[in-house]
Amino acid sequence: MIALSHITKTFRSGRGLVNAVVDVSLNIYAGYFAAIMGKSGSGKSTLLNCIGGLEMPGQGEISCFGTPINRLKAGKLSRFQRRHVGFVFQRGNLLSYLTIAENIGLPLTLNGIVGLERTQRIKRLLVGIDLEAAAKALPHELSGGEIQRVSMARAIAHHPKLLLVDEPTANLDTISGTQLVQLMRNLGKENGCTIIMATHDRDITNRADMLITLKDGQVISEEER
Amino acid sequence: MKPGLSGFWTRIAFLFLIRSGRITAALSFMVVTAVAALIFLSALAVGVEDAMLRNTVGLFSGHITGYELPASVQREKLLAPGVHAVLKRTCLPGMLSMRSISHPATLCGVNAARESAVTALEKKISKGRYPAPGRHEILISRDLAEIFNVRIDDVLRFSRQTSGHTIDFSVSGIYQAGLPGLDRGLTFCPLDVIPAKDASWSAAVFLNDGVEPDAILEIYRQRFSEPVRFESWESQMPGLRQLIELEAISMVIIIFLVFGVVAIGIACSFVIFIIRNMREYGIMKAMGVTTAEMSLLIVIKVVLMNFMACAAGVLAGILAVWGVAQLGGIDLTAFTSHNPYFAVSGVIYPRLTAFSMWAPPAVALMFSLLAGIWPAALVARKRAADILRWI
Repeated sequence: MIALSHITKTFRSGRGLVNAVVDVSLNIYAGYFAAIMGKSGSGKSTLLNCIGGLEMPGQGEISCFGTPINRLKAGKLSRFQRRHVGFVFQRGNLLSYLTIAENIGLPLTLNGIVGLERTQRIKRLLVGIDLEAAAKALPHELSGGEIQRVSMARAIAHHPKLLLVDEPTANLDTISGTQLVQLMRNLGKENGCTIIMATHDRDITNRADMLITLKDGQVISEEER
Repeated sequence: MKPGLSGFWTRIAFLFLIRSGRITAALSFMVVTAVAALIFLSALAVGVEDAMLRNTVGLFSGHITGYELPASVQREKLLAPGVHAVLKRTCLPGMLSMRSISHPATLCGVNAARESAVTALEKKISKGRYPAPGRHEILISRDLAEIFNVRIDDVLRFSRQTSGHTIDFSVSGIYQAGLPGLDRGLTFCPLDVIPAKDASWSAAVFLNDGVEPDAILEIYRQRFSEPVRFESWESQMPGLRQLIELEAISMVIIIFLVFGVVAIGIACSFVIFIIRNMREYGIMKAMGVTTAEMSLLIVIKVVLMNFMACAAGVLAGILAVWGVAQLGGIDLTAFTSHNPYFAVSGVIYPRLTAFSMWAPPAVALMFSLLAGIWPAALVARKRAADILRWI
């Protein structure tokens, strides 16, 4: 389970102090597909970053499958992220100088998955995202939708317990976006991972097991389906 | 970090450099040219040292001089691996006179054919020629010729300092070496007419290029049990030795300065490049790549790029040295004509030594490590969320 208890995150910016997340407490069960909704600036990305350990909350506790990640030191946190977390961002997800297969293989090597198993996993994922023929292509040779599919494959390649997805369909057309979410759900289910996704998209939220709505950094509704 | 991952990061760095071809080429170009230029400059500095040495020791004295060798010691005994030639000379102090004019002089009996083949003194004969074997002929300096106001074929009388024994010589040639030590009062006659056949002799030992005089002196120390004195050019000409050392030190300073500047240039360029691609580092951090691994990756990128550039630079430097050698060296006579260390020739032949080959790339690699620290620190300091929010 992902358990957030009284999470608060404040930034100092040119506009003074910004309360990005304010006293958020949540429980998201393992295997759930949770969607976080809210307008721009409502704190969706910050909340995702806090859950994934990219951002440390100013106050509160975050427990990911029993690990208090906000108390981990940098090295242990990196190892936790490497092993148990997968991220998909809105854009620019891939390393430009690695081929599609190499990008997908990166988390596998980082987790010590090498040799035949690595090769087979990459191949399976490429088939799953329908990009088997583009294995040796570089990211700049792919379309936006293809890049997001590769990002998805890379994020789940090492079978993480938690997949954090930040507005993956923002730069995609409706069909590509729907296909991507379906693909993500399928791949996530295969590996039994918990998916938390920040999105504006109603179509996506309709498919979620849990819908969390944020406004000005606060949870205004929390709905299980 | 797992031990096997360092190989993985090296591979990632290599792919980065290969697939960022234009950027790698642009950054490498700076290192390639610096390494090549410094290898060429080092080789040129060695060439200048060689030329100074060749001009001074090659004119007369040799790299090693042996003093007061007994008549029983054969010239061949001084031959050894690395020794190009040994010249036998018998020198007598005395007085040259003509009519009422007398002047102290040293008469050296020499084998003219061997002297011509090995030394450059013949090139300094402005009038006449070397004394012919078996004939009572003498080669004198222009200074002495002016003192006695003599011309070719005029007769000078030589009186030995110890016995007062006299012998007449006709002037066969007049030389001007440009070195005060030679021009002051050294005269030459054939070895077989010197009036002291059983006297001790001195040896001028000429070495092949790159042979250290100390190595040959050690051989002589083992070979001669009797007290025979040998001196290398380094102890005979401390001024020249210091000049060569000074040049070597200057070269090291230049190498460090150039690569200091180049390293800053590389670091700046890499920082710009890394800032441009900062998001990729943020994504890697989000994937759980540790700060140590990230820093290692950046340092490997910089060092690997420098390593490849150094290899190309060494090759380019060698080609430049070889090319200049094929063109017959660099003629700097116009700038050396009044310099006693270039009395014979001002042509410089750049020569590659182990130092000139390894020093520039070694310093480049050392500085490249430093050049990698700044960009690595820049990425290490930033948190993934900040990077992803920033870009």
